Amino acid sequence: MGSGVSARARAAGSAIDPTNAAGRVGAIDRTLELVLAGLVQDEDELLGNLTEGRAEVASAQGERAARRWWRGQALRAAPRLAWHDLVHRPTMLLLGLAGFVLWAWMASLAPAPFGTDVQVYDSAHPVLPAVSHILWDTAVVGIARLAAAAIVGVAIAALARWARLVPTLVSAALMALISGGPAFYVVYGPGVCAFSDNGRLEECSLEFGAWSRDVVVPVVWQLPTMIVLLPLATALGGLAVVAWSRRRRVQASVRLFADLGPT
Amino acid sequence: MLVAVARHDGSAYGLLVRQVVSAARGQELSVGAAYTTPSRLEATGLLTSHTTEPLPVRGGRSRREYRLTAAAREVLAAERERAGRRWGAEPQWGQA
Repeated sequence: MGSGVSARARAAGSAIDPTNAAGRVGAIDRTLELVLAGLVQDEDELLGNLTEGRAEVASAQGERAARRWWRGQALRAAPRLAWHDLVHRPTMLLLGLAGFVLWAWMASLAPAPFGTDVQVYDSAHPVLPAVSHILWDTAVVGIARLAAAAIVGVAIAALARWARLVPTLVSAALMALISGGPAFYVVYGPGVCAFSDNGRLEECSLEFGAWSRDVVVPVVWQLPTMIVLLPLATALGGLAVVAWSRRRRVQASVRLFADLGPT
Repeated sequence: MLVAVARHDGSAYGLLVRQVVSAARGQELSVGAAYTTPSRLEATGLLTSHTTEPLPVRGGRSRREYRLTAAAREVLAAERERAGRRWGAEPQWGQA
C-alpha cells in the first residue's frame, strides 16, 4: 500500500511540517516515529493522522499538551499495530520464526574458547574451570550471540517489504524466551552418590554454587545479555533497516524533485 | 466504523473516522485503532481507498481516503433493516 504521491508535493509538504518547523521533536519522538513507521504498511496514513491530530491539539491546548497527546497515542498504537500484523499476516510470523532459527544456527557457530558452557562436572571431571575461563567464555559467547541477533534483525527486516519491525519482534521474543536456557551453572566439585548396604545406588546429588563468586559475575552478565540485550540487539538491527529504507525513500523523492526542475 | 465511513463516503480518512466513532461511542478511539480497523475492513473487501496528495497539515504526508464498497452498502442496509424490525416490534412503553 505505497502512497502514489508526487515528489514535488511531498517535498513541499515536508518543508512545512509543523513538527519540523517547531524544531521540538526530540530524540524520543523521533525514535517513536521510527518504531511506528516500522510497524505499518502505510506510514503516511498513520504518522499523518498523528501529525494532524497533534496540530489540532496544539492549536486548542498548546504545544505541551500536543506532545503529550502524540506520545500517548504513539505508545498506545505500537502494540496494537504489531499485534494487527502478527494476526492478519502469517508471513510475518513465519519470517520471525525463520529469523530465530537463523540466530540459533549462527549462535551455535561461536563456541566458548574454553568450553566451560558445555563442560560436565561429575566424578569423571572433578576439576572446576578457572574463573577467568568462565568470564572469558561468557563474554565471547554473549558478544557472539548479540552480534548474531543484530544481524538477524537486519536480515529479516530487509526481507519484509513493509512493517519491517514485526518479524524482528517475533524473533526477539523467542530469543528472550529461551534466554535462560544456556546460563552457566558452576557445580561445587563432583557429584556425590549414596549407596545402600547391599551396594545398590540410592541417589546422586550435585551442589550448585548459585551464590559463589564463580557464578555471580557470569549470571549478572548473562541475564541482561540474554533477556534484555538480545531482543534489543534484534530490534536495533530492524530499526536500522527501517531508518535506512525511509532515508532512501526521501532521497529518491528529492532526486525526482530535482530532475523535474522548478516549474 | 462502516457508518462513520458512510457519513463521509469518499473523503473519510483515519482521523475523521476516529472523531465520528469517538463522538458516537462517547469514548476516545485511539489513532492506532483508526488505522488498523479500516485497513482490516479494506482487506475483507468492505472498503476501498485511494491516496491523496501530501498535505501541509499532515507534515507533507498523504491521506488515505476510504469509500464503501457495494458489499459494505449491503451490510449496512441489512443492519439497518434488522434494527428497524427489532425496534418496530417493540411494545409502545407507557401506553395503556
